[in-house]
Amino acid sequence: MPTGPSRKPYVSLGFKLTIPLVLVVAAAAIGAYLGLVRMARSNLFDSKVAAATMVTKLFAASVSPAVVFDDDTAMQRSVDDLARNEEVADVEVWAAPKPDAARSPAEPAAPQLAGFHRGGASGPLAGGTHVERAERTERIERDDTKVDVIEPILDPQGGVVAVARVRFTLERERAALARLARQSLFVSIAVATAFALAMLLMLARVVVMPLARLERAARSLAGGGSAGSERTVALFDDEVGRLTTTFASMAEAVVDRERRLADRNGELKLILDNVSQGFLMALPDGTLREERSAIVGAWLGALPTRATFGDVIGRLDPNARALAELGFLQLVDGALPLDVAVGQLPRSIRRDERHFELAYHPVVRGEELERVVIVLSDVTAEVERRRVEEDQREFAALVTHLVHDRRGFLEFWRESTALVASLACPTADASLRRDLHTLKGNARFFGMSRLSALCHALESAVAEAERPTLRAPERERLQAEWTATGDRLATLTEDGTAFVELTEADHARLTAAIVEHAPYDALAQLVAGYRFEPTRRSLERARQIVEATCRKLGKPLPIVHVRDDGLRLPPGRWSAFWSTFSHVLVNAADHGLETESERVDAAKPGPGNLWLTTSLEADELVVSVRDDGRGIDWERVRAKATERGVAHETQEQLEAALLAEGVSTKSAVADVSGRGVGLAAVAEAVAAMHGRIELESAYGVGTTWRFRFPSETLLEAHAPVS
Amino acid sequence: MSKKVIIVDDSRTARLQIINAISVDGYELIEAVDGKEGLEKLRAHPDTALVVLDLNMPRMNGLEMLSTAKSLGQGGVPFLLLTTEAQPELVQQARALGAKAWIVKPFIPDQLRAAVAKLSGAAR
Repeated sequence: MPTGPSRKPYVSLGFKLTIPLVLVVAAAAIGAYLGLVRMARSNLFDSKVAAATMVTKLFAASVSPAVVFDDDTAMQRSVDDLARNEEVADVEVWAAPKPDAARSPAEPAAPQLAGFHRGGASGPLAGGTHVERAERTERIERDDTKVDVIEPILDPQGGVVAVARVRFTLERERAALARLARQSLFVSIAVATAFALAMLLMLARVVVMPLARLERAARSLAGGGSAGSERTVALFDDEVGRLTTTFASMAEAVVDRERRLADRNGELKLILDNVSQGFLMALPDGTLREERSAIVGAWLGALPTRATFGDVIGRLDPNARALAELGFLQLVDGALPLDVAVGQLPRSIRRDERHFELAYHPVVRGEELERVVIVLSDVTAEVERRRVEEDQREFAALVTHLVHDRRGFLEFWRESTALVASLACPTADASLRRDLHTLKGNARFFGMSRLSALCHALESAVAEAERPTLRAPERERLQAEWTATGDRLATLTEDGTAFVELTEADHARLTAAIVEHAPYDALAQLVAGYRFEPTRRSLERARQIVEATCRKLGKPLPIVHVRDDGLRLPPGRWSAFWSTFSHVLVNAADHGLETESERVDAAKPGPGNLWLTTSLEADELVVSVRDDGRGIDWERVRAKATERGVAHETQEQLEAALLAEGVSTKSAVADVSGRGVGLAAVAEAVAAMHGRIELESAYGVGTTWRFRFPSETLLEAHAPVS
Repeated sequence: MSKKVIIVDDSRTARLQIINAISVDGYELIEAVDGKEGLEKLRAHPDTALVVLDLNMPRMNGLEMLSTAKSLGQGGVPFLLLTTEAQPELVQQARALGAKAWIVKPFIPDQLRAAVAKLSGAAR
């Protein structure tokens, strides 16, 4: 099986060792065999040559007298005696050759004196020719089949009288040699095989098998099992043995570490299974890792394998899925700084009645985004707690207003109910933005922060899309918010206007009038007036609005001077004006009154001043607001008017522009003011009552608003005010 | 020389908010009230480092401006989109048209500032 980094085919170490071992042993065996055969042959042939020489010498000695005496018979007898030796193939006795000078050219050098030839085994020794030279010493010629010995035959004086040539066959030696070779071959093969087997066995036991076991153990370890199923005990203290021992301890260490890791993972899982937050980990492609806290499953149900971040968001809020997935892509893109990209991901998600918060923690290695840890928290309880707290706070504020200023509150209530009803109407209405703005301001003043926040959000949405109406869900939300508050206040607001409010001062004045026998008409007028609301209350509310706005803006509270001249006004007729009047107050606090440092820079000592008055001037009722703040920057109004395409040549036109919708000198829309909607609403309310607006403002000195109304507004209207 | 950033948004308030958020970093800021003007400004300032682009605008909206800029060969300038949470399909289309990044409105000024710094830096 191919394992390890190499892609070469797997060849067992045993196989690799066997091949060279067998080759070496075979070579050694062949060498030994050949050596043995060669040695045996040499020994056999040498002995044969020695014996043949000796026999030939004896023959030469025995035949010498017959040659000297030229006795052919005796010579032939000696030859025949020798020929009885089975190993003698041929015998020839030649006369010693005469010197060349002593013979004629036709005469042979020497004649053959006697001879013997065994039947056809071999030809004549000398090839049918004479002996060329009379050699004094013996000569031996040998090949694989025969040994020829050429021996001089000497006379008693030592002279060479003849030459004997004897041929011995090597048949017997060859047969013996063949036998010996067979035996040697057999022994060599047997020894070599035994040796090779012994070597292989040893190699297998000492090297190959332990290594194979180690390999199996390592594989088992790599596959996540323990190495223990394989015996990893060293047989010998050698390299393989030490490798085995080292591996065994390494495997133990690995298994131990794995166990500790598993324990730690188990503990971490225990934590993840028991935390109340959902921890998820996403890879840069959005795929979620399997490690996550158990509560995620409880919240979202079982997620598919290879679930993505989009799946999670989709389960929480199907509508948010697309944007969340895009946000995640953007995070991975790296075009934006990480924290900015994270900031574009959904932070809070609502699913039915449950609220979830999401937090993201990018895990970065070097420049590379590796993981994003997502923390999902169920904040339903917290949201509910905050909602209940807010409800209670709002309710307490409403009740406080109701107790302290029942009439004012009920007017606000009636006015706001009408505004909500108008806003909840699906038909387009040019006053949509003004109504929202007015409702927001009133809601804020009466402590209905949720309604106020909702109005602000709706204002932004409407302004962004330049829509003439609210969307259906927006209308429903607004209506629901209002109805919810109304339900809770129902018992307190029932028949809200069906009462007359009397202060102790009123009571004292009436008592005094009766005691002093005041005229009947005067008494009647006094009592009739009780149905009207004292302007002091409206001015006190105005003071509270200014102070609340200053607090919200972090400005020092101004000194507010209130003068009401004891006037009372018919409530139904004036509620629309007082409702929009708050815009003038908020503007005064936001745009008019300076911050502490601005006042120091403008050399205006102490806090700002605000005068709120209601008075009768000739036949007109005048409501005025004056501040000693920074005044209106008419140049800025001119710039704004130019931008909006509104006439701006004369001061009147500038004042009209200031009251036109959409003109604000603020550069940024804030929660408090800046949309250029409020003053337009005031202007509309004043116009509806046939009133006029006077404005005096000097930049750096202050602003005075006077709202002048005709005398009939002092009386109760016969028809409901639109 | 300071980097040029074109701000395309029909709402002056929104443009002012963007300017307030990023002007501290010393960009040369060029305003445009819709996609048409945005394209003109982009043509007049080919060395623009970044376009901050609103999606909803009269006359020519952000997507139209993006695709026109691309077809005119001015798509090399990075575009940073401003979008609301309710417009994922627009973001998707804008991305397909090569917009580099987007930020959800209302934005956090510091985040816009960081985004503009990074994206305008990447252009050079």
